[in-house]
Amino acid sequence: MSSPLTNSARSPDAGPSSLAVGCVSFTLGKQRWAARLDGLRRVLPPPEVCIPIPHSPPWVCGMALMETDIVTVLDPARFLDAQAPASSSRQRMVFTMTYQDAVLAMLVDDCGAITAVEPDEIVDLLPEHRPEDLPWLGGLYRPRQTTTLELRGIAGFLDITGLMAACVAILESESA
Amino acid sequence: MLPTDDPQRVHLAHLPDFVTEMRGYIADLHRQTSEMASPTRSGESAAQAVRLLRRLGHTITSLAQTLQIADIEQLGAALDEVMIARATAGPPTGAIVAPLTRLAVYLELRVNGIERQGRFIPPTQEEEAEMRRVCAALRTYLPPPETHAPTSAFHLLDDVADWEPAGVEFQELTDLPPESQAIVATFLRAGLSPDASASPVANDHRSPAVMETFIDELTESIEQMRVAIVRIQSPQDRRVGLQTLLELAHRLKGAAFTLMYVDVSTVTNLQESLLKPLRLGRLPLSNAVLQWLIASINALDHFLANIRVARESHDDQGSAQLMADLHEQYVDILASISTTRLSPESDETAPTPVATSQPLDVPTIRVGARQVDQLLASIGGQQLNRVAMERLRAQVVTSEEDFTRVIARLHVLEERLRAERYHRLTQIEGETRRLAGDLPLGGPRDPREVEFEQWMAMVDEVIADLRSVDLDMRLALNQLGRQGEYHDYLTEQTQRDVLALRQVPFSEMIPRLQLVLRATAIAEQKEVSLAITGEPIEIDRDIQSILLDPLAQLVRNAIVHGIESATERSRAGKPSMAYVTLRTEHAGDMVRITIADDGRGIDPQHIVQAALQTYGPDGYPLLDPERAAQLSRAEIFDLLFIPDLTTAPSVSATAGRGMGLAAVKRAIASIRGEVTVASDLGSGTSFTLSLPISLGMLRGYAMRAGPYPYVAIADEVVALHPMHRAQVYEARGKHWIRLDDAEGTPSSAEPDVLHRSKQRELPIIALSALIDQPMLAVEGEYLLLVRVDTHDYGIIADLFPVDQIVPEHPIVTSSDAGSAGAVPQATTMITRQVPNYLKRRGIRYASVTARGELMAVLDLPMLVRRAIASGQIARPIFTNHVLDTPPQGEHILVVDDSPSIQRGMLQILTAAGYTVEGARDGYDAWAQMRRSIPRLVLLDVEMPTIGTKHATGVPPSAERNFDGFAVLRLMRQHAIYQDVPVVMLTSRAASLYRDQAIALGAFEYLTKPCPTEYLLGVVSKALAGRATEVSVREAL
Repeated sequence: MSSPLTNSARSPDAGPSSLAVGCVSFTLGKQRWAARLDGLRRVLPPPEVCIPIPHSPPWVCGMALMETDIVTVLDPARFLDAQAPASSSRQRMVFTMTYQDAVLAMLVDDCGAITAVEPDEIVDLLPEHRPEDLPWLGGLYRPRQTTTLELRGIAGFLDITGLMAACVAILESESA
Repeated sequence: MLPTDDPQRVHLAHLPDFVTEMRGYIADLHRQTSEMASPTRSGESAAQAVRLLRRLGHTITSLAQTLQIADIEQLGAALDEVMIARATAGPPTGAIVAPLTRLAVYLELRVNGIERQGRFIPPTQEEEAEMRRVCAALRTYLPPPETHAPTSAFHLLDDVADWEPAGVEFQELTDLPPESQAIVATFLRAGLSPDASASPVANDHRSPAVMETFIDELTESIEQMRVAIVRIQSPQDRRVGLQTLLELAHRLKGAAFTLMYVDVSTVTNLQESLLKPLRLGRLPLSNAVLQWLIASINALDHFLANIRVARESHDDQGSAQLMADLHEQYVDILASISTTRLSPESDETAPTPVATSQPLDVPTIRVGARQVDQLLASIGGQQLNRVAMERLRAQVVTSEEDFTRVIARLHVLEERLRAERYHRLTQIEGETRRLAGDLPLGGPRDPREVEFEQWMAMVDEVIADLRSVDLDMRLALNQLGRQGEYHDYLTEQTQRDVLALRQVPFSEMIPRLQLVLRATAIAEQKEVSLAITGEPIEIDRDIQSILLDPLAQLVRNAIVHGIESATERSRAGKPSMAYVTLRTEHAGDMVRITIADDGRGIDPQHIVQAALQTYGPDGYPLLDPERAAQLSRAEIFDLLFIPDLTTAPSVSATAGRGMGLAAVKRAIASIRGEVTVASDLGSGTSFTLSLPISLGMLRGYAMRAGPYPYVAIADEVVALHPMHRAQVYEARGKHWIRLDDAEGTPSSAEPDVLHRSKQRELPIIALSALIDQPMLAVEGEYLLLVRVDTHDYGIIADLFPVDQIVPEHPIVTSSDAGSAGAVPQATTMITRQVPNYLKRRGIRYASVTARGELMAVLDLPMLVRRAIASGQIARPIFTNHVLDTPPQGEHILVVDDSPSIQRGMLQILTAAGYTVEGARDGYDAWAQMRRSIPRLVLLDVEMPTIGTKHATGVPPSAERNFDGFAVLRLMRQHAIYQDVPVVMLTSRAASLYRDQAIALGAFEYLTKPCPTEYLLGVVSKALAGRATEVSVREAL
């Protein structure tokens, strides 16, 4: 895995414009995804201890102290029922984000580089146009001239906020 | 209003809510349609259905209007229109069911389509045509023109009421459109002038039936308004309360106007004018506004009294003055708003005025409780960081000490080198002398010696430098230590200040309690005054919001139950003016609030009698005479907090349901407080509330489930015992513990003392199982007794000592859990809020130890309730039952009223190797089961009572027809019989009965005649199902 701070293999001539959108690629199960950075707060190693939350679904890892935040750690791969990755050598990371005044962390199997793409390289999908079996597919990647290596082979841009909102809605709707 | 920049996006965000809401309305529509269709509907229920349908139409219209769904809006409006007209013209005929059903079907189709498409699609052409047909069909039920309220003023007034300013600023009535102003002005004048309001007396709408409905509506509305007034005084319920008030005022206004009760209509119109900006948060709920609202409701009550005796609402001397006062106060309120908000000198960006008497030169800002909690959390983070830094400093101090030692060693080394060099030189010099024949030495020094001396001088310098550096380091470290201590002091101060932000003076609540007192005193026609004593106290803002309802309840109780009527007081030689005293004081880390009255007091024997005659949910009296004789005075008063127990002779609007004090106790417990009661007959009663000062901190026990740390809130743990494994046994698939109360009974002054004896058998569960974590065995060093709904449950867990950072002790405090032989003490912990979705799963707060370890503070009562519901933990056995727990028998009990069937079963089962006993009816069966628990019951359904009902142990509350279903139901209500398999054997073959039996917990439902082999197979299977279980007695 490349360092999250190294840049992509974009041609030096085609440097990102001022409108470029920051994004990060990651793996959930066998699938590679990207997400816009503007929905994220931090990319951190997973917490050492996650306290299990009583009677929660299997995709809830637990609550943890990350830096000074009390964070609910979710495993979207299990939520999406994604198959386990082929390789057993996984380097897991968490993306933290603020949702409804609380901090959520999303566990990913592997985190790629933070990179920049031009806005017209992302084809945003409105919720009503998203596939029924993947309502959190927020957009598609349409490389313009040069393919950003980090984003090669991604399934699309995941609507992380929507995904987390769905998780929280389930947690809120089902009481212990 | 919704923003218009991106309507589609905004609308889509509302789509799921729209679908959910509409489905609810459609269900309501179906319900009310069924009510209309009911052939047995009464006039009252039909009128009620009309009212609800009208409200439904209005709600649907508003929702559709907001989301710009024209067809649904039109249909809602049509429904509204028809039902408004029908409210006065009488309910429509049952034939309206057809268009209402069509309306519901149409709405369902539209909502389904919208949900399927995920966007607000317009109706298709066919749908639109159907919509028009439904509208037309509905409108055919509009009453004839002469009974339909035709006044344009009515609609104009509705427009005024519904009119909301387009901007964000509140506008007073003078800002209304001219035509609306005219209408309102007419009303105001009508309200002010008895002459003007006296004119419209003759009114065709006032038929007896309509009047009866109107009086009911007015009575009901006033009652609901009074409830809503109390609700709006609680910040949590304010929004709902205001909405209720607004709806009531709006509804009443229309009806009153139609019937030409101008005073009622004017008051409700004024109410609406204030309630709208209140609801929108544009007008603060000041005491003046609150008092005006109460006065307006009292005015409505006054008018109602006139209307009841078939008079005009203003037909008495007081009405004119009442209206004049009301209007004057209303104008004052508007004027105060106008001065504050519309004054040319005022700054447009000035903050919204609040209803507190804040000095004008002190700027105030509003800070949300959540922000305060976040600030507290940040300070907690700083403290944790400070602890980490202190540890690092200690490491550096240790390193510096090592460094000092290294310098010393270096110095020693240097000294040794010099000594060695000197020694070597001395040797060389002696040798040279010897070789030179003791001639004196002379000549230049050896250059190597010189060089060595130079090197040694440099080493000296280095050592000196190192010493200097070491000294600097030591000074810096000392300075760092002092700075650290100062930092601790500052952090502690900040933490105290932030904690203080959560605190509010208790005195803020007093005006609201005074209002409750005044309203209740007026309603009860008693002269009561509120006396405030004690010291000023502050309480947590969260506690304040929960405390208002219980305090209001206690004040109401004091007036309704405690204080005597004027005649009684006079007879008892008491002054006519009664006092409710509110006393506040500090008590350690708690505050104490006492509400006392100087009324008649409570007779303890009266409470005992009530408890003896009241039956609990288990069907037994709350108290038996033997136990009653043993109760202390305090224990008797505590009976008042048991749900369902009431000492009031009858149920009224304010008392007698037996739920008030139970609710008070529950609310106080929810904020980790306690309530006690004391009373002297003839002198009065006092209720004392002990409350924590802050909810930002709690005392808790740190415990582990596997490797994970959790916290039990100390207030929820009624007792803590070291575990004795010998006391644990397994019965009926659950774990139990037998406790000797002498070992550590919780406070006896608790409601469930009634069910106590020397020994108790409690259901227990391991912490791991409680929180749904893998568990190998019921293990743990301690047993925590947790009280849930008046019963105790045991939780087995390992406790551990924990360091916490709390403001009282600048760095850390430690619990002494785990010290040899000591029962662990609770530790004071700072809590941090967690999101609601964690609260719903049994995590109340989080807390972080001084070592930076996160702990989840558990909501143990919630988790225990869940464990009970899912069958993980048994329901407790009432002690009086335990004492009577019959021995476990080896027999099968055959219950059948037919001797021949009994005999037949006896032969079949005996031949198969079973021991059998027979019972001839339900009572007989129950009496036998009380003597010995059968292994299985073969139970008939229809059994007339043949023997006696007396002395069978069947509770008096049991069903009159104590048939097989009743026996089964009663068995399943009692823990000791819960797992005894029951096979129903009956001639009732209908699946309805079978389903009922299975739902009640029957193992199998067999119909007579049943083949022998099949019967034996079922019996065998039923007994095998519990073969692995160990009976209580076997375990013991």
